[in-house]
Amino acid sequence: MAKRTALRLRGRARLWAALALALAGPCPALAQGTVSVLPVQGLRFGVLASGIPAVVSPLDGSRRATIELVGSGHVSLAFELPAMLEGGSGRRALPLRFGPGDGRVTFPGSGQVLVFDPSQPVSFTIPPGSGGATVHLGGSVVPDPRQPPGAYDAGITVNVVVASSAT
Amino acid sequence: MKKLALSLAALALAAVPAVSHAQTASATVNASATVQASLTAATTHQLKFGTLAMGASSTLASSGASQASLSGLTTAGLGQVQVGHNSNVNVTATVPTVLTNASTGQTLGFAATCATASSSGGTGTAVASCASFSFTAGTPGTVQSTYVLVGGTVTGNAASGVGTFTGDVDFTFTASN
Repeated sequence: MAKRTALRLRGRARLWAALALALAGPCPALAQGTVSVLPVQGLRFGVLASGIPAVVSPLDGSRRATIELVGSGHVSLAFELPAMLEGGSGRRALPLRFGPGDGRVTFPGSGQVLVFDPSQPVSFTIPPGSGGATVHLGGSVVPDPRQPPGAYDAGITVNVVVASSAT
Repeated sequence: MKKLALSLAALALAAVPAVSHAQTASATVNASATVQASLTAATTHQLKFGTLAMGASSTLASSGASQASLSGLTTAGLGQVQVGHNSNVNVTATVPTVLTNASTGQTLGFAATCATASSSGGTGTAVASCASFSFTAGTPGTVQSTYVLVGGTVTGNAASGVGTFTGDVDFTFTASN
């Protein structure tokens, strides 16, 4: 009898331990803190004349860069911004600039807009069920008067960290 | 044993509070621009064989030691097209095989040769074919002039009679990187 009781208690201990491990394992709130990052459109300066700077506003729907964030959570963005576009057979450089107002985050759910400097990290929260957020990026290029003609390009990478907490 | 079970549970719960999870992702978009080339072309001299005896042929060399000079108002000489460019240039040309007398319809055989020079009437460097050739920008991005010299051979034919025989050599210049 005494032996049977001891066995039952061991079984409960396992149950508690299993429950505790389940709680300490993969976070049940992780689904709410998941964000997908979808590149939608590149930053397009179009055709330039040598010596004449060109600016793309983050409000310019056809030429701004667009990245969709789908999901919810507390999001931190950091951009890897190239200083130059490169092009031509000699990999010539075309200076690329980003200003303090060249980044915009729009939240379709609330209609709010966050203006940020792409050269600095930016953090914000996408509420659950809000439909995500859209990041827009503008910028400017400054061709030299003797800028060799041709096509130039570079990649802009956005690194996203989505944080969520569970208790 | 019951104490053991409860303490295990407490231990496990103590490990749970404020567990933070971070998800990372990245994406790349492209930034692009096209710097427009500067390209102009102007005919500065017409190719003229001058006055020939009936049935006589004539050749004007566009390059080499015997390179002909540029044509003048009334003198025979090379044709020349001045090309202003800040990039490399591809050239195509449509060259007639005959020169035609517009009054009689009679023709004389014709073949063109082309060369490029860095100065007007300068020493020409022959190209393989007028129909398709290219030249480079010494300093890309800086507008510079290259001169296309046009010579050739007209083949005499007494049966074609007398008169003025003409034809057009049409050049197309395209900027390239």
